[in-house]
Amino acid sequence: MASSNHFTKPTSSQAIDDDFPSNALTPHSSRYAVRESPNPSAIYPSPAHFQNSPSSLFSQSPASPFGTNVSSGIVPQLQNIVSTVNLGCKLELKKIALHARNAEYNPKRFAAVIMRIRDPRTTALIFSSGKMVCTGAKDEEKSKLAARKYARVIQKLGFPAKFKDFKIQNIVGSCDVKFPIRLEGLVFAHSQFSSYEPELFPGLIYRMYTPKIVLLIFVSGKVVLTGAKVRQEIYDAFENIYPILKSYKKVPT
Amino acid sequence: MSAYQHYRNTTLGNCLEEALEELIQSQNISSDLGIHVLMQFDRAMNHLLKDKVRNKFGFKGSLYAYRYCDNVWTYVLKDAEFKPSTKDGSDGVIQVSKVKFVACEALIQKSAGET
Repeated sequence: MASSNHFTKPTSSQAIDDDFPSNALTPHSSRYAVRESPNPSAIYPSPAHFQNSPSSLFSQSPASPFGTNVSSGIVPQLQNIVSTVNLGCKLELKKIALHARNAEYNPKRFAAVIMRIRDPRTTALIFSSGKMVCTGAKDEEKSKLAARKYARVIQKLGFPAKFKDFKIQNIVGSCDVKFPIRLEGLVFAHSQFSSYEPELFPGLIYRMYTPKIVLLIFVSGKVVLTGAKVRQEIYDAFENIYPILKSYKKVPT
Repeated sequence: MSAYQHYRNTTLGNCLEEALEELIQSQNISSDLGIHVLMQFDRAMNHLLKDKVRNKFGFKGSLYAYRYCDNVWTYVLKDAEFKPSTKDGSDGVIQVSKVKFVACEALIQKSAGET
């Protein structure tokens, strides 16, 4: 149990557990408005942005901020988007489960209808309060499109569903730095941010403060970044961690 | 001890119901007896499919839709192919463009029916 806790904490399911009933759907999604149509050129970190100062590459200091460095040249790929929306009406889940395709409803196990669509390939959790969680999309727009499609399905079943307070709750990205990493060295120097318990979970869990992102760093050089509300946080976190990872590159013996 | 009634919706079940209806209409049997016969039919079908029938079919197809509600799984397979698990080659293979599966929980007796 301890290990699974350890692992699931930073993943997308966390966003559902934590954010959904409490604060996720409060009616202020002004932040999203800025994010509606992400312009790639504005979002991707430009190499010119980072100054060339190799000395700080080998800095052992765990303190934030991380200093300026060369761009990694690696762009993390988005893997999962979790979003929520309020359909603004009470729903009869049984009616939905009986009439919609690809729906599961087992009130003894979980108080929501689980529905899936093929394009964009996503899963939605639909609650009787009219609130909905949409997971599995690969980018923000697809997540919104999928949520709209689910809302349409609900409308077609005769509910007066609206589309209120759409909000991206979590963004997960991943990438590969293509060199092995000495996690023991990294956890020693960055103990303030890291936890590495190979008996519980094979990855190092790095909780960055700015941006507030959790990173799972594996010996293989694969990195998972999660906890972002906007994709730039994923990119920034990776640019922050990359020079640190480079300094803990495993040297072949 | 009631049994699942979904086998009434088979050719055999429908014929039985029609015949019973006719007998009741012509007052040859009471409607009580008719209900008893149908209940016996439910029990017999569930029992026979569970204990007596030894033929096995393997099947595959692409899942078009699924549903889980009230402890019943419903699947619709597209372009499904049913193969008897015997050694004699490909004879007996049944191909259908769409097939619906209804699977109920095996509370009293194991049952998985097809409509």
